[in-house]
Amino acid sequence: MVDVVSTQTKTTLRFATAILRRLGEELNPTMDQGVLELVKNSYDADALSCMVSLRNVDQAGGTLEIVDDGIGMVPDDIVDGWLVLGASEKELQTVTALGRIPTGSKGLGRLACLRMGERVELVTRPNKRPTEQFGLELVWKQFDQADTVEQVPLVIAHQKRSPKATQGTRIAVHDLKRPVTRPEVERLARAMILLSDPFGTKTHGFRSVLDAPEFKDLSALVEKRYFEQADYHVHATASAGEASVGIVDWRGKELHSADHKTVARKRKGTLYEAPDFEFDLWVFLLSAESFSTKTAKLPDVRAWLKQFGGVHIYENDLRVPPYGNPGNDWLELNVLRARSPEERPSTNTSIGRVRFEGKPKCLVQKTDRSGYIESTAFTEVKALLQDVLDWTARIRLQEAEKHRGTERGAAPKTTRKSKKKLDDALKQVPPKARAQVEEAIEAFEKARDKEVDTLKREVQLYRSLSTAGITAATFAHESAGNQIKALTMALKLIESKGKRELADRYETTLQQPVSIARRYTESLPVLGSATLRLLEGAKRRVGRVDVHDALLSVLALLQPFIAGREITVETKFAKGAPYLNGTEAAIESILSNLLTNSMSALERGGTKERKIEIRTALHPGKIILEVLDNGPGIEGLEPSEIWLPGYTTKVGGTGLGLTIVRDATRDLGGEVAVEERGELGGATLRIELPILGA
Amino acid sequence: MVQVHGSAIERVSVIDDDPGSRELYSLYVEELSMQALRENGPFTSVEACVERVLGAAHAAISDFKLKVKTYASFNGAELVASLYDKKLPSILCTRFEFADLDEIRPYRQRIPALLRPDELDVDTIAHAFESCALEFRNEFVQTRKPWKTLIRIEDIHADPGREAAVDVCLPSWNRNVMVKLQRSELPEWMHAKLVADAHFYAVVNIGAERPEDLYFSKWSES
Repeated sequence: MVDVVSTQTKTTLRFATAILRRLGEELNPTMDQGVLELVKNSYDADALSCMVSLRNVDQAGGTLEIVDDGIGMVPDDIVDGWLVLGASEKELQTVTALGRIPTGSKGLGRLACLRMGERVELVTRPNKRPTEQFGLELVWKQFDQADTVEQVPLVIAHQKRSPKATQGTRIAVHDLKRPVTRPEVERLARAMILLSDPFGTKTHGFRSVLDAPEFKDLSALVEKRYFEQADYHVHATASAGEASVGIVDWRGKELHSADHKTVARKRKGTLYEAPDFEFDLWVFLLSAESFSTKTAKLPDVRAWLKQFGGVHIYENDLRVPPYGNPGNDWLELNVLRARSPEERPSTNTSIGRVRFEGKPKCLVQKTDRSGYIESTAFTEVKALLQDVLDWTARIRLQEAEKHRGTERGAAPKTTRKSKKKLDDALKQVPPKARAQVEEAIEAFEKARDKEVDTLKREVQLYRSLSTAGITAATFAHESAGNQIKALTMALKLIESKGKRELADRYETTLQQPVSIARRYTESLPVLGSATLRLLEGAKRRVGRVDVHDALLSVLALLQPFIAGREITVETKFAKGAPYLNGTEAAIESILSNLLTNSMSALERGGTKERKIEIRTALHPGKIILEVLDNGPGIEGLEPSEIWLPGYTTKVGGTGLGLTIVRDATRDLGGEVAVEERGELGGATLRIELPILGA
Repeated sequence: MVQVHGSAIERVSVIDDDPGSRELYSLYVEELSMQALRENGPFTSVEACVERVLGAAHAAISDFKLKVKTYASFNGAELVASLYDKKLPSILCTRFEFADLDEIRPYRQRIPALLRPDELDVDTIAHAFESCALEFRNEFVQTRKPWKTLIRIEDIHADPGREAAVDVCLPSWNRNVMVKLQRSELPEWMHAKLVADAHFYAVVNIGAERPEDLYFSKWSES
């Protein structure tokens, strides 16, 4: 028998020192995130206050210091806690002596913060051992020189504590590798202020302070608490998957409320798979009118909202970033507001808070602290809140509609009241002058009635034209789409079959009629397409409009109709690319109506060799657009009357085209003018518009 | 008869709510010596239509607007994309307006052949069926080949009462042309990050010549 001698080599997994960089710096890329992790450590250590100071940080080599008055650490806490990276969250679920639920820091943010400098100094005075303090120094260069993390020995120094020294922990990060910029300090200040729910009424006994002027300014701002200046306050709760919501006014009086069935109507009342939470949103109507009755000033509230607006999330009374950070609109308030600006809040007009009691198990924060993992639970929280916001918007819109209806109904009543007042006042006028005053009033009333009549007619005409546009756009496809498609396909089939069956004879027999039919077919979709293009929503957005581009696009759109009337259009544009702040729709309204006006005039006058010229000229701060034609000029109307609604010499015309030109020009801050017989013989219509540049 | 990689396409389903157009599509199909199956509808669901077509034909041609009358409860883009999933060569033929693109774009990756009526002839039909069959084997013609591409958000449109949309620029495709995408087409994680000048990656067929032929998938952070 042979003896088998077994040997063993014991080993462990080891980590290269580069892992420290990866774990810390790459997972927690910003300075404020790292510092916040240390502040949260202080919270977990039952500290009542935590002070962060930055010294000489405007250049590399400065010091960052975090001092708290928490329970401190004994050597075992340092070895098994502070120096352990990536600890399991399960170990952190025990409630602290002050009843706090630990925030669950895994130590990676701490590592990132500590590595901001060349050397870290930790001094901690535990409440468990009132006469001792413990110190530890980390010198990163030693790690850089070693191959593995374990090769660098760390020593915890045991020292006697001075009797005056109270419990707590001080961490100093020395020789910072780079300067800390002002925006970074501002971001840190904001994050620290928002960290421990400064909006609630509850006192939670933890205050973190940054020793920097930026912090003082922001602290002062946050203390102002303009909540009572809100126009309305939405309060919602989620409990066992059921939502309930209410709107209260600025005095806290309930205006509306809804139960789960109403809020969740889109999902037919099914329960939300979300943890329990409370939601508050304070919404401000930032207008001079709304603020005329308030005690706060509009610019102050605006500045406050700019800094702290948005919907923040608090878990266990500590904020979960980045929700509510500048640029983080996780509830999509801004997009929804843009879609329905009247009754929707934005991140600049509201401030809100979602508060989870304790630490919901179904919501897990990402390792890099960039919010929650997008789990079903988190998606459902969002869905519930968006349903609450939808309900709120519906209610507010209904209210606004009702209000408008009341105003419309109240108008004649108000007029009657005013008339009675006037009659009473007239009685006070001496009899001699009264007749004269009565006559003047009668003349004024007649003029006003005429104006009201004109406006009514104008509104009715606009409504009719809108209906015509809507009808054309809705039925553009049915009215011609199928027919054009079928004709196009049929002609292509005739062409290919014809060529095959007739060979050379196709050219002399079918080619001409097929090509004529094809040309007419191609012109058919133009009206439908043009109508749809004119109604494109984006054209009504206010923004930069390149005037020449917009003019050319209108011209291209109407080209088939212009060509169909055998009109030659010449463009003589000024050099440059003038632009203004307005809507493309306004420029489109101006030129398309001017061109339509010229086309009608040329048809009416039976002009041969029909010509239209579109000219632009640039002057400081303005563009002059002229549309000239060689038609009969203005006949049968005074030049000033052509801009009035309903005035037309065209049979069946609406008389609105040039009114729209005038209104669109005025909307852009410009002026209109007309020359009855211009350079080409027909009318010249001149539009002057302010521009921003060219 | 059109041969696609050794298999003959013998029967082609023709789906259009207009009987005249159905007849004309059928004449094209018959020009290629294939049998046209004129689908008279009505179809209550896209699944029912797919089942009907798969059971009867080797390929399909569909119009886009199928819902105007009571012919179908879905549009042609949904149908062609569903047939693509079942690896049945299909063509979407339509005289679409720009507004229709919003409805077509989400399905565009699964619509290898989008033809306008004036582009339709025996050659384009045969070629379209072939390029579909190629894609089913993971081979792409140049205009359909997917590439990971950097995309810049140019503008956000949030018109009242309308689905929000974004204008995007694809510098590696054409830096002068903006492409409009509905926000609902984009993954939810992007919604809060949609600001002008934000950059993302997506897989796009940047060999496409026309904006309406572009498809977007697999969005990721830049």
